[in-house]
Amino acid sequence: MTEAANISIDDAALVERCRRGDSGAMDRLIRKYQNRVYNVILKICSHADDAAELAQETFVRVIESIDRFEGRSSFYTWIFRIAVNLTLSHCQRKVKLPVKSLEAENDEHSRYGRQLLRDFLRDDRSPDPAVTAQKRELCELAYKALMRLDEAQRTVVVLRDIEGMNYAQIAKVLGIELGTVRSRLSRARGNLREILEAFLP
Amino acid sequence: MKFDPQIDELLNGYIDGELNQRQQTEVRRLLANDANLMRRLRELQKCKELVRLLPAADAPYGLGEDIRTSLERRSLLREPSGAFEQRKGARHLLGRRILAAAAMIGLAGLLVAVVYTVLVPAEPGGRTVAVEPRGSVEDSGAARREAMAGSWPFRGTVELRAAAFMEGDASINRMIENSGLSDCTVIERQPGRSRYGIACTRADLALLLANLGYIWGRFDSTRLSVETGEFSERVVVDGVTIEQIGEIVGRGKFEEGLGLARNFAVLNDVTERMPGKEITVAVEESGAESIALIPMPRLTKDERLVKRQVDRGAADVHLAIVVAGVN
Repeated sequence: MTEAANISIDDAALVERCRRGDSGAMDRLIRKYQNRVYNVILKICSHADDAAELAQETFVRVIESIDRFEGRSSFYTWIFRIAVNLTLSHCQRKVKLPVKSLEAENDEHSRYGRQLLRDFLRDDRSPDPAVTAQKRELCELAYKALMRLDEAQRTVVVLRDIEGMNYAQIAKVLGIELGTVRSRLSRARGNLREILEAFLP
Repeated sequence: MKFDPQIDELLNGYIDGELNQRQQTEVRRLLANDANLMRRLRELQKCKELVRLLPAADAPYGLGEDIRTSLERRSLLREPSGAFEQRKGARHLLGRRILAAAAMIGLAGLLVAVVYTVLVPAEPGGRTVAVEPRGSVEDSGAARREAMAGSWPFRGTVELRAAAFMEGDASINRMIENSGLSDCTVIERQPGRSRYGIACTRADLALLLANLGYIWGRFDSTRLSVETGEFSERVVVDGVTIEQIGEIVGRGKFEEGLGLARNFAVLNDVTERMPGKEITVAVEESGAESIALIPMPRLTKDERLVKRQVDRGAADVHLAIVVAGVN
């Protein structure tokens, strides 16, 4: 995953051109961020259609209010702040379906998948991630474990481990203190570990 | 095994590269001396790696186009949001102000029209039933009758309601007698309700109104219904005063009397809705001279009230006074 620090290049220039009505600059901003924004939204809300709509709404709001963007934060954190706020609001509005018990979910996964997970967690040699990524079953379990976190914890994990933001950027996106990011992320990873352990055969 | 949250925070900070040099050195020293801590570090690292293994999803094809379409549609429906919201707010505020101003102007105009109608001096041909200041005359009957002579036939009903029905009814009965109108009055009595049908001249009515002025305040509600002669329609003046009845009946033309009744109806209605009933007070104070009550005539010599024999053919006032209890 590309580190967030590398993505602010040209953002200010694109934003300025966008303010002057340059549709080409607007297209570049959309192309630059659409996959990352969509991916973060999807990993938080876990519904592809909702994620597509939320991503669209994010960009529409960004472009409509770009005149009000004062540049006090980076454009990168601003756009993700809009995206995450929209997504979390959407999650709060949405009727929550009852979560299956871990036992019920375990039944849905093959013994092979859970074996893979155990090997991954217990193997201190850290198998090659590229090889491990091919294991669809492992990813499914990881995804389900992530979805079992509450939205606040899941969001910090997604922003840190999937989007690659540093703690300061996460604090800006979520509008919380740096210390809160530390403690929330720490609790999230601890909980994630417990959930994964529960999946093991 | 549960780990100290602060240790976990430190380890996660170490994993994420969020510690300063001194903290990193300290963590390394701890890890080198504590196998459990090292195991916990591995667990947390595995969690991070596992999440990072999740495949990245690309935005659906055509998202950019959808965004542009959405922007175009919204720009067609409304102006850019910031300016639009400001203008919308300003328009809303302006609309409310205009509406409030129009309402105030309309109300003020209505009140001015009503007050003007009430206070304007009577035209030369017009008549006023009650024109003489209280206590200024010994006997002004002749002038009054002259003023009242030759007019349009007035037909109307006064409804009076009193909590003390018996007392109110007796008062009306007595005032009719004192005005010498017993012979031209038809009385219908029912339990809790009496109707006095009076056929008289305007001069007689003026005397009756002067007498009624002394007991008018005893009634909880008053209402005058003036017949328009068209399809049994009536103009109803709630809260009517003696002076208003005098003004209406005293108008020179039927249309003027009817118009004045309508104005009084609006005026009284508006007054009733306003705290303190300032309008009526203002009107009554400013128009005190023209609508002052006629004083009760006093006997100046050896007179006796003579029962009036009104020629029914000469009667130009047909007034029914209905007295009832309060429901």
